[in-house]
Amino acid sequence: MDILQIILGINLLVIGILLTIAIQHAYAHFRPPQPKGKGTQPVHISPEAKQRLIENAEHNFEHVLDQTATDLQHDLSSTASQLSKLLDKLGTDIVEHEVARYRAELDELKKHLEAVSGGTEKEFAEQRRALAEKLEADLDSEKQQAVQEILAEKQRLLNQVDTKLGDAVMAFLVDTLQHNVDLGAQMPYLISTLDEHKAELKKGISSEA
Amino acid sequence: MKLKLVDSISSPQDVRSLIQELHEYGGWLAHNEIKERVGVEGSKERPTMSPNAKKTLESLDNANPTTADLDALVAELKRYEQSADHLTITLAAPPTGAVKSELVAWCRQNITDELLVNFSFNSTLMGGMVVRHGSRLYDWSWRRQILASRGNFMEKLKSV
Repeated sequence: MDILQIILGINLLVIGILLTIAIQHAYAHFRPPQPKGKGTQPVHISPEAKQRLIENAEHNFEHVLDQTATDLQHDLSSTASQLSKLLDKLGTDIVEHEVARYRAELDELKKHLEAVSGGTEKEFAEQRRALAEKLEADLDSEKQQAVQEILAEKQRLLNQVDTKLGDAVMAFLVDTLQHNVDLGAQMPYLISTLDEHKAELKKGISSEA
Repeated sequence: MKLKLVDSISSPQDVRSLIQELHEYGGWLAHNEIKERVGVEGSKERPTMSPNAKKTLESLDNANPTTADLDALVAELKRYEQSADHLTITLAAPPTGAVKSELVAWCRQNITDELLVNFSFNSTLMGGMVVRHGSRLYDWSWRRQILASRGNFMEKLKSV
């Protein structure tokens, strides 16, 4: 239970007590108690004494009321000042506590954010480096592939040129040499060719047979 | 009878022509023999024969062959045509008789006695020859040699 609540309870108790006393006095003032005893006998008081008693009673009652009111006012003002002091202290404590908690949470959040951002930056740098390496590797492989393709194409074109040139030379030779062939002049060559391949020819003929 | 054909008789067509000529000569000889038997003077003039037929008859042991000799010769020629190996030689130009005889003589001396050769020509060979026997083909033409040396030609060209 807070101090405030205790003080409020005490104040309520004091107020209740004072209120009860005031009500009792008021009741006693407006409804005096009947004298107790067996067979009450009226007392004869002179009007002047009665008036004097009444005035004294009224004066006493007013004095008591004034005193009570003064005491109540004093108590209330002291209670109010204590309450305000306590409220101030409580408010200050609460605010300080909350500010401290807020600052602690803020610091924690800041640290967490720094950790996260640091980790993110590190991860980002790592990924960037990996991406750069991969890109470089891809570029190298594509470059090599392109170079190989170019070399293959160059070789293919060279082979094609060689083939075309060979075909052109062949066509020229065929066109030039196929006319006016002198078999008589070729006879020694023909006989030497047959001599050179004699074994092959004999083997082929005997195997077919 | 072991027949040794003259080298000028190279192809199966030559053999068949020779057989035909010998048939005709045999017919003439048979007629003369019949005439002589019946006392009729036969024809002194022999039918015209090709040099191949004359040389073939000269190769017989008998200078005056009889019809029986001719029949035997014809039978031998037919057997020769059936059993002889057949070659086809393609040259770069139409071969003359001398070229044919020389090539056939070499083949019969170095490969086998009983051999018949068909000749053809293909000017694109440029030189050399292509020999075919059955399913085997031997390309010794200049065309093939030039084609086979195409790579060498390009290397020589680059080195010049």
